[in-house]
Amino acid sequence: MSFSIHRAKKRDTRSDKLEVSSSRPSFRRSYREQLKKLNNIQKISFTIIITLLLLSGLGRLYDFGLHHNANIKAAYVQSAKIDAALLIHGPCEPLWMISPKTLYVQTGIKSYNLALSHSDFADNYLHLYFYLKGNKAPRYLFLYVTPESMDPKYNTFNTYRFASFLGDPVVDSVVKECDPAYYKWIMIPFMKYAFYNNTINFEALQGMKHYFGKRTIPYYPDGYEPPIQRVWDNHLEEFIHLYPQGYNFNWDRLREKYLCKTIELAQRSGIKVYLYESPVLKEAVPYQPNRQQITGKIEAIAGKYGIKYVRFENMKIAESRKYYMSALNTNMEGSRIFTDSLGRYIKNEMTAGN
Amino acid sequence: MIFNSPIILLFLIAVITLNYFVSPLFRSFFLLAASFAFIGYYSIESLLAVIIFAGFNFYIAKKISGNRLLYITGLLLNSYAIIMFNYFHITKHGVDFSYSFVSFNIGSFVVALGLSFYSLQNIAYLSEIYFKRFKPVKNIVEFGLYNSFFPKVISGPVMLPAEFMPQISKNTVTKEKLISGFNRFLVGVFKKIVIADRLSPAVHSIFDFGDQYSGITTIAGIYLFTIQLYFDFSGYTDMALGIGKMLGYDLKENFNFPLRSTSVSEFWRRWHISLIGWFTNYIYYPLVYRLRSYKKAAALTGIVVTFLVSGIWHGIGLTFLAWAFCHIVYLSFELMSKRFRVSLSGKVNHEIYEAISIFIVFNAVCFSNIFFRSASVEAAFQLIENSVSHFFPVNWLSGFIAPLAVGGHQVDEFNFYISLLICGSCLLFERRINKLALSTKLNVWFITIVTLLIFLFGIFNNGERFIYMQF
Amino acid sequence: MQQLTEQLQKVFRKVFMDEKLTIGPGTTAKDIKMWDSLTHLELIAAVEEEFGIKFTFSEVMQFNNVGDMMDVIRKIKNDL
Repeated sequence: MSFSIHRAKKRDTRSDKLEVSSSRPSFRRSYREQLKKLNNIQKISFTIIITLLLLSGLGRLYDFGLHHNANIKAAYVQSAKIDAALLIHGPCEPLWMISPKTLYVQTGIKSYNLALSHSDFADNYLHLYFYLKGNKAPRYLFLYVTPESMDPKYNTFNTYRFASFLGDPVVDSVVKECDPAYYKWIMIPFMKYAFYNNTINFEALQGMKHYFGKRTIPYYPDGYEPPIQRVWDNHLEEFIHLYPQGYNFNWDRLREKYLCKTIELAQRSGIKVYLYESPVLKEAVPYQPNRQQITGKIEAIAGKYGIKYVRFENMKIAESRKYYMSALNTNMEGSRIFTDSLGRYIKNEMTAGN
Repeated sequence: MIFNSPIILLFLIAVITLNYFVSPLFRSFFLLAASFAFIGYYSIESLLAVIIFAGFNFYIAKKISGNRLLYITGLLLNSYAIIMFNYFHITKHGVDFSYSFVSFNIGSFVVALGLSFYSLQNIAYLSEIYFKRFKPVKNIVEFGLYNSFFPKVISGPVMLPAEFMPQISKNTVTKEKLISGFNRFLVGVFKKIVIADRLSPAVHSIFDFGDQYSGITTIAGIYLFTIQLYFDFSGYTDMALGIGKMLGYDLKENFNFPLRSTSVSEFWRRWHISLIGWFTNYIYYPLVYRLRSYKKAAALTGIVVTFLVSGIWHGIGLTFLAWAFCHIVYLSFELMSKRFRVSLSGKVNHEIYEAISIFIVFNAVCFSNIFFRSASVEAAFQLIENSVSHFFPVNWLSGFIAPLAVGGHQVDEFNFYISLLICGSCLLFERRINKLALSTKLNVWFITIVTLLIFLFGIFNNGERFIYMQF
Repeated sequence: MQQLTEQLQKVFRKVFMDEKLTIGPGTTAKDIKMWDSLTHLELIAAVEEEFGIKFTFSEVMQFNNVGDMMDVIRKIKNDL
């Protein structure tokens, strides 16, 4: 708008000049051309500047929204004083199975469920790092590890969870290693959010809603989330159909690296680490021929750090689909029974002076 | 998607900038080098293929005039290339449906980039020379550019020699071309990664899983596929034409608001215009001309042959034949019922007739596209069966929203509604958006807003939702 | 000239099944609903039959309007 007025004004003065300097046509032409050129370049610069400004502004807005979203564990654990004595950690199996309330019945100590669905060890590592930034280190950490955890086909590094924490050197180095394609783009303003906008848009908006609604407590305050699916989901049938000859797990070096880093981080903070595996449906085990072999490797890692790998493989519930939604996930009843056993195990460990 | 690489963006900026400053004498050579670099970056096989085919066609064209045998050999070899290319495609056809001939969605299974397209151009070239409508090109660099010109090598548009060659020597790059090319390119990026790629998961959900969704859910998925295909391909076309314009070239249009067609024959004048133009010029008209004494039977034969060939060109498989068969039925019906429909349109209110026609044509096209998209004819029939049984879902959230939004969580619903909103608005305001895309004026706000929308709602990570297994 | 137009018009009326159809040198396919790519060659065949001539392929492809067609018809008839 202001540009067009500006241009019109110049044209008027130019027409005056036209009458006067009609003897110098080349000057007139190059002057007009210079003007047109300048205007376009001005427009381009203006466009670039305003786009960058708006993108940066949006980025700030998203930073704000994401840090105030009470449902985002990474943000919540840094700002809230949880100070639990026991941390449960891992992907969706612990998230959907282990309720701190149930654990408390047996253990008598406060626990918090730090797990998040489909998260790998790098994801877990960063969430532990965030937890320790904002809270006193717990006495115990129970980290869920199974052969599936070591196979890159299962779970993943959910980069979008960490987008708003980039800038922290620990976060940067993990993101760079686990999602290099993403890391290449983030020098462009707002791109760190744009890249995964399908999740982040919603979370940022929700965060703004929480801020204006003065909401600081998550929907699930102790971290445990009951699963949406409650019945058998036929994944095992599909699995058998896909792998009639059985499926052999792959061992991923990056998974191993971050499992070790998580243990190391916990131990540096004086936490007693336990690796654990909830009971696996016995019916599914024959379809994974190298399960025992991989479990052996996990035990070796536990041995290296002087920690225990507790496997609840002989529980009765493992024999019946009645307690399961899929080969690894127990349903509500199965979870209750397992968590009760886990609680008793922890109580024994506490009593034994561990 | 090839666009995920920052290198390609830098490449585009570099080539367009350098092209502006390079002397017009050397531009064709420069663009040929850039095109080779582009194709070679994708794969060495593709680069070898384009060099071999361009060289081959260039040399035999010089000797082809009056030599019927050589002409037929040339035709056969170029056709063979197309069929072999499609054959390679089906043997590596995985679960992820990525049709290589559409836009930038090229997977690693595309053996020779653009072979289907430049082979058609080569056939056109040989034909024009054999029938003495065009003179063989003397400059091999120019002919090489005709084959490999990178804005159009991936998926067209298919250009006839008379449409492309004269532009090479007359090539100029003006500020207006730079601006309108850029506007067009930006709109293309928007159509592709904001509209089409956002719809992709919903379509994938309905088409690629054996689940029995309710009728209305299945139909929604079927409709969304045609819309996704339209925005995907017209987005690619906008990008190609935009880049071409910035380099001083006017590439052929591919789309003219096809979803507003009032008949299937009109649809084929508005959808993938450059390709259908080729089929009409080199298959339909020559054939029907020869058989014209058979009146309507000639036209019918023309329709059958043209669409069978088109089906095969798109891919080897029963699904493509089924798709072609649908259109043969539609066009035959339209041919035989032309008189009836013309008189009907005279009797009925014009707007109502048009609205109903558009609706019928859209449904007909979507129906044929079920075959086009499905992995097999059985899957297609299953989908058709699903769309008429259990029409309404028992639970709208889990039966309608969740499959289309690919998840029942709030975030999925949110994303799905945004996708629908954006796609709906763009369909409604198509004409205005296209006008902005062609504008030779630098509109600061238009560029800023589209760029912001691309950042906010575009799919950058191939729309991959984190697919995990819980076994 | 008048006779040619009338004769041609008769053919158009028969092919396109419309007794009220009128054509002139500037008439194109856009002006006649029944005339499109599917019916074009049927029309050509009928015109050829009526005038006892044969158009070449390139002539057929180059007709932009009725006037072009009439020019070519006249040319062929003069050459005969």
